[in-house]
Amino acid sequence: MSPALVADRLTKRYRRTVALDRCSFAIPERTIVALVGPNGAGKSTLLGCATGLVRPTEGTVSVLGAPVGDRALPRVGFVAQDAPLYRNFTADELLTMGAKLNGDEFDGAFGRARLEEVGIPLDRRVDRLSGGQHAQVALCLALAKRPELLLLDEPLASLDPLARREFLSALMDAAAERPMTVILSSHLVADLERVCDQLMVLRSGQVKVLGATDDLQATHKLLVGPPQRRRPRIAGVGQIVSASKAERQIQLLVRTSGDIVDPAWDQFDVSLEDIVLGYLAADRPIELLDLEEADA
Amino acid sequence: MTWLVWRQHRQQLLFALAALVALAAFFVGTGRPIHDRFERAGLPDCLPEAMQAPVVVDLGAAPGSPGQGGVDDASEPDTSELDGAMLANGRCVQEAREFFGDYQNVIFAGLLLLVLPMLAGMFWGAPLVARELEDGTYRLVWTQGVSRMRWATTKIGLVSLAVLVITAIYAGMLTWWITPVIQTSGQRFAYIFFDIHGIVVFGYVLFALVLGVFAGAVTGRLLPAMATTVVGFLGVRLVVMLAARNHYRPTETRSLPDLAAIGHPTMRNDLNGDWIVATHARAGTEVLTVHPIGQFWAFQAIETAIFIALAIALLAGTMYWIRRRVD
Amino acid sequence: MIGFHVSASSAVPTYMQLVEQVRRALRLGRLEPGDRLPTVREVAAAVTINPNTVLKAYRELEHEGLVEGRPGQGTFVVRSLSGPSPQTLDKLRTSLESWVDQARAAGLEPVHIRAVVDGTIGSLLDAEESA
Repeated sequence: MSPALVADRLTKRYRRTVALDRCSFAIPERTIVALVGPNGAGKSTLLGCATGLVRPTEGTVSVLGAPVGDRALPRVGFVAQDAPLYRNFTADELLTMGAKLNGDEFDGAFGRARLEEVGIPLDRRVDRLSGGQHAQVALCLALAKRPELLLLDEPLASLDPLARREFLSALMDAAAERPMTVILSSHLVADLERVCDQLMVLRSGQVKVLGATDDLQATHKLLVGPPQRRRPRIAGVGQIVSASKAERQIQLLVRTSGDIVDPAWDQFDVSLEDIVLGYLAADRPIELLDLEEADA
Repeated sequence: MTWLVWRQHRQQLLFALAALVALAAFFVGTGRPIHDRFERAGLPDCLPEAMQAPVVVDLGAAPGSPGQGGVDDASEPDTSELDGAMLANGRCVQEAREFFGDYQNVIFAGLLLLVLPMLAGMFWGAPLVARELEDGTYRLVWTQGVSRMRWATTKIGLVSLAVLVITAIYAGMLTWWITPVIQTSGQRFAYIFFDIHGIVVFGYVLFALVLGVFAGAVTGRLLPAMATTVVGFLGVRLVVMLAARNHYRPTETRSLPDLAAIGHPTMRNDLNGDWIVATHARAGTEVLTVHPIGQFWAFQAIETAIFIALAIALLAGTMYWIRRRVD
Repeated sequence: MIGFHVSASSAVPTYMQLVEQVRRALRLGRLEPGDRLPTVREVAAAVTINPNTVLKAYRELEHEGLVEGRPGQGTFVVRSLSGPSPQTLDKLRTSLESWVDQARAAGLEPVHIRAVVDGTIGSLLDAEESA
């Protein structure tokens, strides 16, 4: 099983900003990955590198075992941010376009059947569809390629809750029907929690964490305890990921190395959102604790 | 890919065809009377010869004195002293002058042909890439199985082809319609006249089209692309027309015969069609620095080639830009 | 056909929630041996969860011997969970209802009733489960 997407010191620099900073990672096949990070973190740039829309400044990226390029594209489904479609085309015409541009692997009949299942008329112009329907058409167009890798850039961003649900439902249906790797980017975690089995957190162009959601939740804990003077040493804690302080307590997100039995600290299981927030927080949690020293 | 280009541009194409049909109706409807009058005046027969000679008898003047008398003065002067090739049929010239006097406003229609290339650049060229960039649909179409290069060449190629065909039809119709007037104007080589007939229009159209595409690719937005096309097209056209055209071929010197030696007043034949760059008087006659009318097609070819070369350069630039374009 | 519901706010992992819901259905008689569970695809789409999660749940149920996957046909229930008959359950339900009536008659607010119930059941069942 070769990884679906591999990056090696992937870097993208624009005139004044660094969008991606020496990212190295491998995303396994047949998983659904939540790519999470704040705006400007580099999510779109990363997806752009995987689709050939962005040319890396340094480093390499390969998809499905092949270098990024026109030959890989028929196996890679992509829906860009805001799901761009030709607004005066009908869904049927978009699928015809897909067939003409993509060659044999494109399955227009499959696409049309899916749209009918979701109740979207094939002969209505795209600019007469609702937001949710628009997103479904874009998804369908990408799925009709029968891709092995599906990349979705903030697909839920402008959808109402019902449309979001329908979109994710259609996506889960597709993922169950055929083995496929999906990478969904978002700056909201809550949407993606039950849908993803891998989490990748991106901040300032760097990969902060990448792992199976089950593993991450099993190996991280939230500890709440009294303010500390120096960096606390707690048995069972392998690494303090982040710290935040309130008036009479501090809260630590930690990666465990064993059981934590220290009675001074209250332990809590973490949600994915806790993990994301923790890894997005200040890079140097210890600084916060140093402030305590000044206070005390 | 062909299907996609057709589907994206079919409205434009149908609109252009409809305009062509309307124009055809106009041209045929109004052109018939013009051609009838042209033929009745016997001009198609006598003009080709009349246009050759540099000198013509001034039928408006009485024998021996300039500037008097009328067309009905049928007495032809004694021109045995003049080389036959130097003297045009006076009556023919007179008829032509009258014809032109009546119909010269037709030239204004030719101004449309001046604008047509620019319109092609603005409405067919500029949106080609700019629209996709502005709407974000390039993120859709560049991530299907077609390379950007193939996408660009097919789109530009097919649209250029369609535009050239439409231009050919339009130019053909206009040429038929306007030829009598141009021939009787004697100004084939002059500014504006030169630009609105012959083959140069194809060079202009290709140039404007590719300029529009290039501007669209580089600016990434439709309105700036259209503005750039207008400014760029007008600028280049004016520079080539006013500064370069004169130098395509060296001029020739032509001296008119000593007109006083002839018994009857004569004058320079305006119908001649030479492009007169400079004149100076000398001993009762004139010496002209000209680009002779025989050079007309050479000049057309050179100017067309210049614009095609510019179009090719812009095309290369466009391809390079599209290939390098990143988000 | 069983309809699943996943609670996002629960501490229980999603796949375990599915497993428990199947167990519960078996106990309550809503699922019987021979019934076919919905396909992974159906569950993933209906509940909007990762298909791997559904697979994991079904594998766990298979491991517990409650279901069996038959290739090309689906996943079928093969064992029932021993539990009381519907009549027993009805009797228990009725006695619980009368107890609640007694509590209300004694003047307890719903909040208090819940506290008493949770506290009593909590300590009783915790003691039993850790034994």
